[in-house]
Amino acid sequence: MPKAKTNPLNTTFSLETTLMWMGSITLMGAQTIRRMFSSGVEFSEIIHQIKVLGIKSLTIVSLTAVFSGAVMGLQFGMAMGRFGAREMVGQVVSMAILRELGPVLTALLVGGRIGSGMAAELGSMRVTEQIDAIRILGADPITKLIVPRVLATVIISPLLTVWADLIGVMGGAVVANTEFGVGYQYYYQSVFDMVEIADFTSGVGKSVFFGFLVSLIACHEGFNTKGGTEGVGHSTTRTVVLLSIITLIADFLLTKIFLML
Amino acid sequence: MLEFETEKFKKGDVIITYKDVWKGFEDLSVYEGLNLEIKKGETVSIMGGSGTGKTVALKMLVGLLTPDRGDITVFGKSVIGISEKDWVPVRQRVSLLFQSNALFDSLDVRDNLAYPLRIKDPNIAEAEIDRLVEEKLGLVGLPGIEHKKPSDLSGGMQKRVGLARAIVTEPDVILWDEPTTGLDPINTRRIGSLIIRMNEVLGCTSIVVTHDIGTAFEVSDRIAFLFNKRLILTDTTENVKKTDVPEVRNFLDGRFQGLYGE
Repeated sequence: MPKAKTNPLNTTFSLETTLMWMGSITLMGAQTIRRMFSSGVEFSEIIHQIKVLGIKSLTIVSLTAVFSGAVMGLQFGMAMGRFGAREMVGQVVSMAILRELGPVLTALLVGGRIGSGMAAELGSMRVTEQIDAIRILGADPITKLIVPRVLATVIISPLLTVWADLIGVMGGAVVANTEFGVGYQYYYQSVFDMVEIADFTSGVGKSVFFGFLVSLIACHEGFNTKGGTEGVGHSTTRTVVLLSIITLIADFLLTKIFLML
Repeated sequence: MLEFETEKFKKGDVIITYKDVWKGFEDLSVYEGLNLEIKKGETVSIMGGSGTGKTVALKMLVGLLTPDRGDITVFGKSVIGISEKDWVPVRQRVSLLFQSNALFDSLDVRDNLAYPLRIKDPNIAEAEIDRLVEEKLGLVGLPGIEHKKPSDLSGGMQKRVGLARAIVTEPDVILWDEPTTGLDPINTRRIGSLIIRMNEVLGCTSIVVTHDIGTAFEVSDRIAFLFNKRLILTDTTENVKKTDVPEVRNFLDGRFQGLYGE
């Protein structure tokens, strides 16, 4: 049997382990979806997770969105000035933010902040036998731990994306006005004239999928942590790396799908 | 769902059996034919060196690990290959006290104890939870700590809260996984007394996994000694004390010859 290669994250790469990982996460995804409709799901825990995950992410999402919008405004304003179309900067910035930057940046930030937190929390629970204790005490760990986190992330992810869209477009407006002299009223009017509902819904639609993906991968990695506190560190790092890569791959595939619709 | 008629079993009847159980992990074999019977009302200690699979025996009994071969019965019913749903009634009768205590650190002591109560009866009244929590905390000698978080408690107190959570639903069997590990001599004695007390007050059957010879001698009716993937001796505590089985004698006398392949 060919020997698997091991990288510094102590992650084993081989066709066998990759297929096993995909099978394992697909199974957990199916179990999670099935249990979303079971009676054991605690509404109060979902609300708690929304508070913990969503509200605390607002600042980081806002900061990232406003500066991304500002940078987009600067770059597009500069580039479009070469064609004498500087006043159209609002249209280009808003399209880029609504269709791509809003959902993807939010997913990457949510993945980095929320995903790593989930992986670390569940990983710690695994190595301190708290997950085994939940089973022993007669409850289902997927219903108790994973379903509330996945549902909360699926709910907050589009909300954070809409917020990032708004803040990002505003960041672009400030730069367009101060750097290129585009009036606020003209900027926003051009945005409303250009943007179609499909531009908005494709971004928000993607964010729902990203929310599911991010939380499922984070929960999967945390849930399957092995090897004590060192294992928790590995799971957390793996989660961030996996989420970054898989979010961008999924973004490409989802963009293709939304463009075909 | 699996149904048990526990009331049919009288003190002294066999309620748990391991029959020719084999268990391994990847290329490591832990058991090659484990056989053991546990009778109702007795306290049995499973002893052996580190890494001999003492905890594995407990985890197989509550479905956290599955044997590769052989059979395990609880109250006359085989638990091999049963569904997660069928494990629920088994786990309500057989409670495991984890070596790490496994208290939920996000919950206070009251909610840790309330957790299994709410699972067993989702409609249980808060006043009833308060009553049971107070009663069980009193039983383990920790009244009035309901609103403390596990991180605010010492290791010995956490161990006793773990015990209170394990007994709050009044199981028939308590599995003690290294209950005295990491505790000072006073807390070790205290836990030893609690094992005896659980047997006297609640009528529980106990299986104690330990390498603490003093505790095992103090609490056990019988002692089973694991060596080389099998139980090489299962006998009353008095007989084990004077055994001349070399591996057991070496362990009891603190000699390591032959115990770890040396």
